[in-house]
Amino acid sequence: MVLGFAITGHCNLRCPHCIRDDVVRVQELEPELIERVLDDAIALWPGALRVSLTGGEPLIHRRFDDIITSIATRGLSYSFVSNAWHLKRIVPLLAKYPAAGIRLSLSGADEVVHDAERGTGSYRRVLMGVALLTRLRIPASLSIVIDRRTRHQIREAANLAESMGCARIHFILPQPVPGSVIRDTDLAPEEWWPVAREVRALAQEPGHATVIQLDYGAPFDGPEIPCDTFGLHRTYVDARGRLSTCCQLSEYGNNETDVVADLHDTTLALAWPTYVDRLREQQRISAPMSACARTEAASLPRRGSAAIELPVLASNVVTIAESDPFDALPCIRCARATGKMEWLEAYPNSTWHAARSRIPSHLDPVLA
Amino acid sequence: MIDTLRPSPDVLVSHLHDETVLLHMGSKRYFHLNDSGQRIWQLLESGVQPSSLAERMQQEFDVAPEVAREGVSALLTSLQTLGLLEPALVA
Repeated sequence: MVLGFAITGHCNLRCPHCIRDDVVRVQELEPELIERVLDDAIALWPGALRVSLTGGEPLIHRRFDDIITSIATRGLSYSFVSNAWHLKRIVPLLAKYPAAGIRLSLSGADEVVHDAERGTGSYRRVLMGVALLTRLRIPASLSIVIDRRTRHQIREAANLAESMGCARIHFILPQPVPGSVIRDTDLAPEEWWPVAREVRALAQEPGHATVIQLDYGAPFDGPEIPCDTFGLHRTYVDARGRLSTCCQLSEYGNNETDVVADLHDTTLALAWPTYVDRLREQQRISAPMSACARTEAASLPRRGSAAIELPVLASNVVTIAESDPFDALPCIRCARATGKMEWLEAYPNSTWHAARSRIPSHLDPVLA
Repeated sequence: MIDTLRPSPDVLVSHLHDETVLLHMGSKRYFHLNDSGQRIWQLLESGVQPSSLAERMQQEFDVAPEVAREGVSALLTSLQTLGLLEPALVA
């Protein structure tokens, strides 16, 4: 089990594509709450727990050292995501308690594109961050969002990671946010497919020492695999100490439908059954329409008169899947089903505008 | 005018407690200097002439003159070859 904590809500950068609704208000998760949740989690998943830290920007937590010490002294491995601005400052801490891996975020594969988004000097901080981590023998990974600004930089980003000796590079197809819609940098839903194919093809090329990974949320070519959260391999506590059904949905879309329980008021163990119930409901309401139809088809008797009906249902599967442009995008479906895309109502020109409704209206007759 | 060596502007430097990490932005290759290498780099950054480095190292690290000379010479050669140092003329 990977236990994720957003230890800060705020960030020192202001990336327009950031999925968090508010990175300005200072919000820190109390180390004491983290310790209590860690102890609960150790009891729930003994010997099978890893910790992942995110934010906001985790390194600007004023008691970051205390948090890492709490994790490491409990014998747990940890990793975190960072923009690398403050990495050098924590080198002594990392030397004492090495992370299992650290992921540094890119907004571009070169200095011009990256720094246009994150400010002068950001790119150099990331690259120096990789060098410092390598010196510490901590596996360094890069991640890059692919949007209109970076669409042409997929191979360049992979080459950068390779030349820097990174363990991995993650390609992320980012959920639309008001900032990205306003400046029109979102790729359209249909543009996600060629990106996914390009990244997958790149990953198949021989000779890479760096693992090339397309992060979850991209369209599946074949059968959809549930995300780690739905698979109960990952859970998440937000920067306000609340158990959330997903780190991608947390603080996104201006609603809190992802929040299950405030861990200031209850324990992880007590909240867990409710969490699992909520997760299953979320999984149900966000299931792909094509899968619903397939399930329906599979439940029919396979002999006798029903055999005649199956081809009809099979054709429906195709019709439904083709009619919903978001059906193959699992994270978008989840965000849509939980009402976290409703803000798109205000942006009729966005290529994602159709994702604003919880249930696509044109599918209602089929669902009925 | 004096021939000297200076850190390349393409190099990012991160000084840690007892070592220095150098990253060449062009080649994306990075290197680390141990404490004596770190000291040589710092002296160059502060404008000390390469011809004076061996004597300074001999004093600070308590080594024989020939050891200091050979060590400094080898490091400067490597740093130039890797593009981390470049020739410069100073008044």
